[in-house]
This record gives sequence, structure tokens and C-alpha cells, in this order.
Amino acid sequence: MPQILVKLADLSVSNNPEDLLVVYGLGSTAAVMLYDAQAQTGGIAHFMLPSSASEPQRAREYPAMFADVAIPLLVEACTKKGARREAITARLAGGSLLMGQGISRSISEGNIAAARRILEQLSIPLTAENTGGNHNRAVRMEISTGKSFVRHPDGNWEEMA
Amino acid sequence: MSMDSAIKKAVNGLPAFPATVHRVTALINDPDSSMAELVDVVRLDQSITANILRMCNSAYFGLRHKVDNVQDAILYLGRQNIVRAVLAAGASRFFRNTPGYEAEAKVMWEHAVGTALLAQILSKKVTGREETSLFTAAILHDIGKIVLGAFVKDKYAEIKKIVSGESRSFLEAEEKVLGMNHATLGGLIAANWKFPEEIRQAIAFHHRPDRLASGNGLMPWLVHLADQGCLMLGIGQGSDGLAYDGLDEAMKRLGLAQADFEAALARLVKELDNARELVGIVQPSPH
Repeated sequence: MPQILVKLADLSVSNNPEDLLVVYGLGSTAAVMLYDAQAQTGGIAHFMLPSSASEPQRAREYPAMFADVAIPLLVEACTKKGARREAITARLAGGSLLMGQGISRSISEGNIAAARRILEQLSIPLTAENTGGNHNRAVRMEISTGKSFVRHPDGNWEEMA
Repeated sequence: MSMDSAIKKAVNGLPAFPATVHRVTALINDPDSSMAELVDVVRLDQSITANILRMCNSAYFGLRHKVDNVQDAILYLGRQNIVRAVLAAGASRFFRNTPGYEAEAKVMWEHAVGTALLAQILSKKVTGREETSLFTAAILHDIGKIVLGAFVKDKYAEIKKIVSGESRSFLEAEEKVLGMNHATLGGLIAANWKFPEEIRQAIAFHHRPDRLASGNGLMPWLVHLADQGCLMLGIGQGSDGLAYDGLDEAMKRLGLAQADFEAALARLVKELDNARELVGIVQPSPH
């Protein structure tokens, strides 16, 4: 199965049932995974900050860096590839915290809160979440089925249902 | 052999840090040194020469000309960048697949480069300057992991139990189980390698700059914040994950607002894109 790596501050969309979209290196960052089962089309955005408000120029250069720009853009990219807007569902992973939390709390929790809020505003149902903790994650999504998996620190992959 | 002496023996088994790097640093800081001397010193080390030529065509250094020899590289890079390039080229040879932390050489190196770039971005914001010694400390901050990894691997279950069961940091768990943490060990390695005290302390206290007596300057705090920033962005992830204390005090000490930190993280992504050749000098090693 061809793996498509979704880098930090990037997004990727596919309607090729052979494809597997993968994000490695989720820390305080977050991945939103969108999928339309009937169209067999989906995508992942890997953003790192909740809001582009103070960084408009950076957001033009790296639109997928910020939740508020990345998620609407991902929806648009999915529909361009054939997903039906009203059939899209979402999953969310990431938002790990440092201990002591002072440095990372507003970014980690901000990323997760922003994703939930934006998906709600877009009326996209959030069907599964795997967030928080002090560990890294990886996620992957099979385009043929929409099945999404999250990798635990012990290396095992668990389906996000 | 006790754990402590086994670890120290492993440290003493590490090869010396390339003399070329220290000699280049000395020449750069000597106003009487000549370009020809610098070229001669760099040329003595073939691996450093090859890596410099590769790196200096990276967008990070912003050269307009394609460079294919040491003399031109030195001419175009400028003093600060020469030290950085030579240091990165010299340090990169020590990065290898690191068991225990379950990180490949390339991942360890990417984290080192990311931390060095972010430390410079933060330093520029805080002091208006970029300092070579800060770059050095940041790129070597996790060098202790290279040695400690094998010991962490042997006691991984115990360490993990303390981290998850008692909600202690990975650093504390290392100390408790192995009698040594990777930061302190990094400081010992840097001492063996004859780095100055300022750099040794920034490495040894990169997780706990608050444990250093005051008057040690901002370098340990800059390395701390840069390291935490890279962990947050998942740049160079390992089995230890984010299980470290992100000290609230860091921003206050550095006089940074949350928005400054976020802007620095955003800028880091761009700089890492520009520094692909720098990151690429450590290749995935065979398992």
C-alpha cells in the first residue's frame, strides 16, 4: 500500500483506495482526519497551532500550520477530490502535554479545542478522539475503508473507532 | 561492575570530539588568523569537508553561488556560519541509532538541528544576537542519550513504570533507576570533549535550568525552551515522548510572551525546510 506521509504543517487528500495516509511525530500538534465512506475519499491535516490570528503571513505560506485555516482547507480539498460535504466525518488525535504543562498547555489544549470547535461550526461529526497524555503518537488512515489507527508508545497500532 | 562505573566506562569509550572543530573555533576567534590557515585546518578532516560542501549549498546559509570547494565555502559562509557548519559536520558523526529511547540516528539528529535552530530563533528575539556557543550547546544537548540509551534499554520496564505509574519525568526516572540522567551525562561527555563550562552547563541542565545557581546566563534556559518546543512539535520523537517538565519559568526568565514562542515555533518549520541539507548529513543507519 503506497504510504503518503503528511508532514508537520501540511495536509494531504486522496481518493485512491490503494493509499495509506500517515502522520508520524504528533506531539502537542494535532491531526484531523476526514473521510467520506461512499466516495472513498479522505484526508489528514497536521497542524501545530490553534490560531493564525497573530501570524497571517506565515498562514499564507503554511496554511496547514494553523487549525483555523487547516481544517476548512482540508474540507475543501476533500470535496474537490469527490467527497460529499454532508457525508464527511472526522477523527482527531494529538495534543500531548509536557509535564508541568506551563509551556505546552495553551498550545496542546488549544489545538484540540480549536479542532472540536471548528468541526462543530462546520457541522462535521467527530466520531473518535485520541488526545492528551505525555507521549508521542502516529496516526494512519486507509483510503479504501477510512479505518484510522493510532500508534501507542509501545509500538502497537489501535483502531480509532 | 556497578551501573555508575559501567556508564562512565562507556563515556570514556567514546571517540574524542574532532579536533578540527575546536581548532576552527579558535581560529575564528583569533583576529590575526588568516583564511589560508582556516582552509588548511578544515581540509585535514575529509568527512567534515564533505559535509560542509554539502551543507553550505543549503538554503539555510543563503549563499547565492554553488560552492564546490572549501576555500569558496569559507569565503562565502562568513565566520559564524563556518563554525556552525564545521560543528554540525563534526557532531553528526556521533549520532547513531539509539536503543532505549527507540530513536533512529536520523531522528536524533533532526531533533538536535531543530533545537539548535529554535534556540537561535529565540535568542535573536530575546537578545538580538545569535551565538555560536548556544548553537553548540543546543546541537549537543542530548548527546548523553547516545551513551545512556543502552542502559535505558536494559531497565526500560522499570523506568517506564516510574514515568507512567508515578507521573515522574523521564529524567527523574533515569536518575532513580540508573543513578544518572542523560543531561548530566551529556555534561560529562562535553567535559571530556573539552568544551567550555558555559556549554557543559547548558547541556547538563537543559531539562532543569532552574537547578543552576543564578548568574549562569540565559543559555541553559534557551536550550531548555528550544528542546521543549521541538518535543512539542514532534521533531525527533522517542520513547520518552513529552515526559519532561516544561518549566513555566522559562518564558518569564527569557522575557517572552506566549505569542513570541508560537511565532518562533512557526518560524522553525520554515528554517527546517531551508536546512534540509543540514538535517540530511545524518542518513538512516541500517538496523
